[in-house]
Amino acid sequence: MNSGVIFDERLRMRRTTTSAAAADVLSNRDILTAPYGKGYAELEARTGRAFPNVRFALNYLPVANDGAHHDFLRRLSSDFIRDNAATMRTIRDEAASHATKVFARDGETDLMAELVVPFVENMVEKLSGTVFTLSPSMVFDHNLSLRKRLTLEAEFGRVITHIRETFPQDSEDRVGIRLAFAILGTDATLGTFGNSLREVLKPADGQPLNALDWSDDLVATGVPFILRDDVQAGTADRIYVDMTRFVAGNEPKPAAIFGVGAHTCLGRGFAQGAWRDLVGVLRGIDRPVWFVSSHSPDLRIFDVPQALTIRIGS
Amino acid sequence: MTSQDLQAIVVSTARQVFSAKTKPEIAAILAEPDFEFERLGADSIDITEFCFQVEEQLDIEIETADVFDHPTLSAFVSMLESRKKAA
Repeated sequence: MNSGVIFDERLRMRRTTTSAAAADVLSNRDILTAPYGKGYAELEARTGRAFPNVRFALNYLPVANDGAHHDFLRRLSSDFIRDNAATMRTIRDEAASHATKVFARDGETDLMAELVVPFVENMVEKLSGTVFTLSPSMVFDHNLSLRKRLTLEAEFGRVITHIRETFPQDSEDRVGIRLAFAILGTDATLGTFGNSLREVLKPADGQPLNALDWSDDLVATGVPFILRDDVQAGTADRIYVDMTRFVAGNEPKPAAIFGVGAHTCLGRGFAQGAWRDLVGVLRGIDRPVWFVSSHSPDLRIFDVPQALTIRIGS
Repeated sequence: MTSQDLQAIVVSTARQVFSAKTKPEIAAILAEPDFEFERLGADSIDITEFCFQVEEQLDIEIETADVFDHPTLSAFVSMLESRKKAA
């Protein structure tokens, strides 16, 4: 597990730099997810501070749990996906339709603001009845200030209440899974779609859109793979997978966008389907396109472009 | 707020969070003029709570990484001073 794993000084975590290293780590059956829920529970027990909504969310995130509870959450998730197949089909159709309108306009366009964010917000709104006012994946950040943790706690409280009110027939398990999909779907989808669009559009220098190398599969991930040494007293020898799956490095096409092993992305089918719908639209457009710029902030847990600007038309 | 004021807050908070009253070895480290946080042997929960309490008293955001990035009392206080001025 040494080759392809570096210690990232900025993140204060180890992370993989190649897909092979990520696959090697993720297929290790002894590896555990980072103890997010345990961390918040200990924080509450030892300091008297309360983060019940954050703990509720963490308890329903499959990627933040191991063993029998993880198996249970994956079953709940599968049921949720099956029951919401029609909704997810609608989200995909609306995204493809919206893309047609975006690429019909002349001039510079930020595809993150105009295409990817609306797609993700529509998805989260349909699944949870609301949209987040902050990045929900802050829940995975070990390095938050008190102010940010309290803001996150309040935001999760608002969203949980909203889900319960919007879907009064939901069981508590269904509320939790709905929240989990909204959390995991937000930054992971923003990053994976944004980075994949950037990879395909980067060479664009006036070619028709349909002449670019559109792949049927997503080609980049928004979920870099990160490890951490546990910092809890007495367990310093434990190695945990920090949330996710994958990857990193500068490989042109990582081998496992959605990860491998027990925590393979549950939204894979939906994401690939949405990408294929989008690509189906873009392959039918012959307007010239230029890549202008993209901007990604410093890597935290997710890798989400803040802007992806192209010029369309003359 | 002067550098001395900030230092007093940091030391006082550290004494409370890192149990200086019940651990003489911790009290001795905290009595040094420029101690290193690492020597306190604190775990992540204690470091987090320490940051929370300093943040509450100074009304500026502090992350646990700030302790690792500014590993001595003087460096930490200097960081707080800069951040307080910028706030």
